[in-house]
Amino acid sequence: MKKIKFSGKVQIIKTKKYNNTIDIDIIFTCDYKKEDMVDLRLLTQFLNNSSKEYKEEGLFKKELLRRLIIGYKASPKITGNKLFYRFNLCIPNPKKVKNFNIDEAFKMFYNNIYFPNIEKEEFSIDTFNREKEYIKKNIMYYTKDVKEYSYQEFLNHFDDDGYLKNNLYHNIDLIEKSTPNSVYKLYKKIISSPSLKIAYGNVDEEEINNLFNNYFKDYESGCFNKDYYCFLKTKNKPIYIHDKSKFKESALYIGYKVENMKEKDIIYLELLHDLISMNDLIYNELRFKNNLVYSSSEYIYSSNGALVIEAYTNSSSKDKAINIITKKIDELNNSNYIEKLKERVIKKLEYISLTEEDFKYAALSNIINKHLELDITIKERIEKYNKIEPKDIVNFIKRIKLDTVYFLEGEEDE
Amino acid sequence: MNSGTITLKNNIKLIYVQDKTKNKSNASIIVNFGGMYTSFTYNNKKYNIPEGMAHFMEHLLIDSSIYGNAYNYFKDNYVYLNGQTSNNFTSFHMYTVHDFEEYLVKLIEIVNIKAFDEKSIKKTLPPVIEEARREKDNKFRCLNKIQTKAVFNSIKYLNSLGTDESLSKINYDLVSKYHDILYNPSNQIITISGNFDLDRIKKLVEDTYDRINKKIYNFKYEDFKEEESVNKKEDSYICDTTENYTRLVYKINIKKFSPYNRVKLSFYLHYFLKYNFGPSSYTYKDIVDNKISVYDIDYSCNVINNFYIIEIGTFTNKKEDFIKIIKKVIDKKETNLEYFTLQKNSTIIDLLLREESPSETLYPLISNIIEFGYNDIDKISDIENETYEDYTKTINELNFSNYSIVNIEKEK
Repeated sequence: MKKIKFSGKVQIIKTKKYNNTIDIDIIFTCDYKKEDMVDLRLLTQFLNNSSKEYKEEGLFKKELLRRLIIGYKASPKITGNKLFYRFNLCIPNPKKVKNFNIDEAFKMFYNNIYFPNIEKEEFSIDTFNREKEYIKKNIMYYTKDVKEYSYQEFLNHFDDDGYLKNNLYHNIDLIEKSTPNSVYKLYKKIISSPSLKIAYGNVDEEEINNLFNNYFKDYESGCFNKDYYCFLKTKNKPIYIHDKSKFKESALYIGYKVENMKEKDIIYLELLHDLISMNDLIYNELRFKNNLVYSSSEYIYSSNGALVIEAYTNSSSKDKAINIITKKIDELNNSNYIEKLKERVIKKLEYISLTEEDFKYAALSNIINKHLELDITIKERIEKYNKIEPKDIVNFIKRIKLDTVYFLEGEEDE
Repeated sequence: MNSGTITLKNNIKLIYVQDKTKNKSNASIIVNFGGMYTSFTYNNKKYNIPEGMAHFMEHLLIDSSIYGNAYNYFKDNYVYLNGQTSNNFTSFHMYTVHDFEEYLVKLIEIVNIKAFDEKSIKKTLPPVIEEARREKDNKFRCLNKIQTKAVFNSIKYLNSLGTDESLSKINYDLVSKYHDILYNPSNQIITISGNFDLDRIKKLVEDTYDRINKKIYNFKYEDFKEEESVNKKEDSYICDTTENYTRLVYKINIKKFSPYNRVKLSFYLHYFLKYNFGPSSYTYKDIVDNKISVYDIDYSCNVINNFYIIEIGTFTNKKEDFIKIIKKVIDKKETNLEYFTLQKNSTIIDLLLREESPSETLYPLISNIIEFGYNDIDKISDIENETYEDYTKTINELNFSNYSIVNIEKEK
């Protein structure tokens, strides 16, 4: 398994184009397992709403306002068996806003991360109980939402390995196992792990380095395993499920898996997705040519080797919609056709690359993704796609196996 | 960044935010024809508008334009196009990094030139009907329906998506006639943001409308003679849900407010609501400590027909306790100097950040013009000129006595 290394030093990304704000990111990396999910959710609630100094949410939020902090956020991202825990601080450029004290803002940021609302190795029990209650109620509420319910039921049949079902909806029993101490243990694990540190904006390098030296110690260079992938195993033959519900509308999901998926296949899966979605192959056929749907979409799980198509159609149109979708995938078994579609994808990406330059945080996202090897830039993607021969895609598509067709029929179905 | 509003020939208003450092250019055509209108008068004759007509027309113009399916045509040329219908208006939006002027002309043509026929109307109906059906699963959309009926006397709730029945009334003659009258140039606003040459755009827009040569119709929508009082004190939407939700809806008459003062009021209300109902508030703490709810308090305010509608709600099974607390806080009209100062500073920073993005400047400007009738952007000096005395006086003068309570309740 590949190892990713951090230098421990602050990565400073200067940008003159957007000079009204400075963003500071500290991203910790550690191993993740399914049993952590409730603790992780609770921890995030704690870290976003309180600290040792400002135990009450009201005081905490007011203090952010008083210090003119534009944004503060603690958020997790899970990829495979890895957890990335990101603390972001967004502050005004001191040169642009009088009365802004950058040192005070940094201090609060540091304290939020390293001095949370903990007593005797436990988070506050009152807040803990309230947040647990909130999570339980929220999950139950979404069982009555047609999109959430239909998608999770689809996963029940599609995800035999439990990688995509690795969410609170399917693991509600874990809520009762969480304690203020287990949340604390997860917190300690996160904070003790290697971290990526970034400062982004029209920053004064000397000032930023001084602040980091005062408040955040440089770690020695750290590294972690790139354990990002949990590829789903294919079934022997596809399954077809038709459920009924009390919802008004109906929903159709078609799931494909890649046979013997490897890391090197990810770029092919991503290209396949772009060939379909950027050319609206399925949407055009379902909506404009056949009037079967109001909306449809397709998405991939790169880390899991899966492609899912989602469409809202009714019972009488279901079979026709399924035939159209599966036929559209099969039609990609043609090098000339792929070549034409690929040309359009690359052209579109070139335009998207120009649009991206207008987006303030594109450079920051790209740097983070590069260091953590989570994604490639648009320009890198264009380069990679250009090198892929249509016959390689055709060969890859032969390994895309129809796995699950799930239809949830609603009450107002024709 | 350079922004402003210009009135072109045919009374078309052009709102722009220019930033030549950007690659992308955006354009929208906003037609003052949304889902809430039930009728209009032209030449002393009253015309009824079927429910869902505005939304249907949006779909039709995109599906059946002089370029065929306009969405596909634009997409094939790597330009984004979409349409949207709200209660107040219908908008058509595009953006591109190439050939902006060319596609702006095409956008104007798509919106203004009738290229549809009977066949295209039949073809457009099924997905529109499907879209209308799927909204029935949206609990908050259903709540908004009963809210409109409870709060307003003369504004009837219309499902802007329509119903099977209302959409079946739509035929070619009706659509054609209503397009002529309601989509006439004097009923349209064009917004542009990003990288463009303003003088060229002005000429282009004027020349294009001249070429299309649509007749100007002086029509009038029904006059909503809305009373200050609400229609119904309380109502509930009963459904299959796990959580009850309660919302107080206050109706405040702002007819006497000038356009500038309406904008100022929007900031003051934001400060007032955040102070009294935000996560830093005593109200929120009270509700959490007394286990009335584990959720945040939702709050918002919108302008509808000379009234500010303020919504304050949360998920709770202790409805009466929640209502009691909210009413007490509203009646008290508490303000706080420290908090006012903090909010002012925060707002000034927000305005500073708008400079970095044309769309962040444009959308509030559009809101100022369309909702408040105020033809200018929000300026830092406007915020700096706010005083605590003025803020407190303004809030104290607001009449919160007209309100309705609407709920989402579990089926028994």
